[in-house]
Amino acid sequence: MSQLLTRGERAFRLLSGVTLALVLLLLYLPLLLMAVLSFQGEARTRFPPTELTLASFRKLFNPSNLDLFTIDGEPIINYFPALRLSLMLGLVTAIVGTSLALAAALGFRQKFMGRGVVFYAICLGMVIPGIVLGLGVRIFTDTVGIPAHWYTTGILVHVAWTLPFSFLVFLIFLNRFDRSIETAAAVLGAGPFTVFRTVTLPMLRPALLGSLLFGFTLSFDEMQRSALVLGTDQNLPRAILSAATIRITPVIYSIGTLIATVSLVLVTVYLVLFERERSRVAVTDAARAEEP
Amino acid sequence: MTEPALAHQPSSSVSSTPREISNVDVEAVLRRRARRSALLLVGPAVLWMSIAVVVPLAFLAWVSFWRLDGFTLVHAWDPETWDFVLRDATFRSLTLRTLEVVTIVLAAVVVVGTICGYFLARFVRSRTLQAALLLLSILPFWISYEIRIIMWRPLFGSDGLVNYLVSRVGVTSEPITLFLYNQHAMILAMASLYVVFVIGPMTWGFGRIDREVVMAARSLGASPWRCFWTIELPLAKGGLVAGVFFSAIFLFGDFATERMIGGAQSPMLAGTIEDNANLLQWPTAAALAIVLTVISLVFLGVLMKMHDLRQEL
Repeated sequence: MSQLLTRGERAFRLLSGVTLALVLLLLYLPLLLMAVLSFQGEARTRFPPTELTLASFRKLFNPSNLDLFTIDGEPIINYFPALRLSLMLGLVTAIVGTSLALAAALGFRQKFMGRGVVFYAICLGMVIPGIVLGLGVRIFTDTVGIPAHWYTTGILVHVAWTLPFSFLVFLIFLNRFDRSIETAAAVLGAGPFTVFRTVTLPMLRPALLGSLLFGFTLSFDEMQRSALVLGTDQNLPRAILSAATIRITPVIYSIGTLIATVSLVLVTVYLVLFERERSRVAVTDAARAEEP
Repeated sequence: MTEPALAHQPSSSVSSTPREISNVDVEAVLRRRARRSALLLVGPAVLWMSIAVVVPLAFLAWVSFWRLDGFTLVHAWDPETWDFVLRDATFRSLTLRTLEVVTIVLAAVVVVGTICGYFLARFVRSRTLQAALLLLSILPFWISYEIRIIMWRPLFGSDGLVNYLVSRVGVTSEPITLFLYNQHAMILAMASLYVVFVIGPMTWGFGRIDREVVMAARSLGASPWRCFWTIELPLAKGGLVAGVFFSAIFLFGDFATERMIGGAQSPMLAGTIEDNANLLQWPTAAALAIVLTVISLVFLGVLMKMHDLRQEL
């Protein structure tokens, strides 16, 4: 069919290809422009950049060196406390969310009463609009007297947001999982914990990595839910947005460029590794299928 | 996991206990053990979600009936807030605007995402190129959302590339503000933020369709257009629903795009909730939050009725 395209199909192929190209342009051109403008020396972020310097990166890394900030009215913001907080919150959220989600997904391999209700209860954390979840937790904890910090309400809300995603990742994996391998290990005398550690967990490695990555990214980028539950603690999205509300300077572009680059590299590495692992599993599956 | 332990036990305990274990007993014990271990495994997650989501949500509904005395919340059973929210024309137009924007953005991402997904699944023949293009289309999801909002400025801001090009061409000396601080800009920005959620699932949805089916329809005389509407799109429905589902989850609660790109001119529900919360108007914020929750849950419910995503798990 692909060899014999009608004229209409050829036209549509061209049209849809152009659409994709435009979408990619709209997705990546801003990133490129932001990267270019982060090397601009002036406080104004005018296009095209008149001079390319490392000034904004120097300001980003030395916020306490006031001599660097020579432009009138330029906001001086130290992003590192917010960055540290976001990294910490992301890490804790990823680990807690992944552990709870893995346990829940393993439990879902059995039938039990209220399974459907539990499924929807877990997914509720994902489908409730972010601002609503934040508001609910904020009013509730305010009333019962729990102070809002990243390590109290912050973790509570962030895990509630990422846990359903991790849960779905594990469900997708476990539903395609051949349980006869576990049975084989068990028949050969391995206890339930040994089976889990030596058979189930290694096979779930891609899902485990995916869930950790998902949990970390969702928490690291979290803005809608964090607006009301972090109290005086500020995570990076809030710090960046509140700085941008005052004035957008090349320093904001430089931290944006750094973070975007690091996330893109990390995710690409993960996806390439994942694809390799998957094709390896697919090859062994194919080899097994060929055996009589 | 619980089966093997049982399989072992009888052999060691059979000599000490003369009582015979019937097959029925074994099955009942197995079932009970499986159920107990399932509850132990699911319990922690359920407990966490109850404390973090279910209880606060119920509490929110309750607070929407409380009264504000100065800035302190008073426990009461007072429908005044609801009376105000449901009767006031401002809040009604707020809800309508939210629905309007959500509908337009979702329609845009569905059309564009479907076209792109179809292109990737059908017209890109090289597997490697397909994987690379798909990767490029979904990667921006991993760039922070606030960074993607700020990235709008270098392109469309008054100092950005578009205005630079426009001024070079000499069409106008004033910077054009078509792409910043207005509704069109906000909708375009939201569409570009959320289209990444649709392209991936649609490529997967179209990609898993058996080519033989399409070829059979074609050889029986169906036009490509008819094939698309009656065979390919219905078969890719799972991808479509998944894409809309995840876009909608983010879209309903989005208030930063409205602030930073829409210029906060005609507010929507999410932003108004945050405003009210910052002004400590808890009952109003709570009532609006309940409205937004009901709208989004009804929408997602209708979506799941169209295609139950659980069967894709």
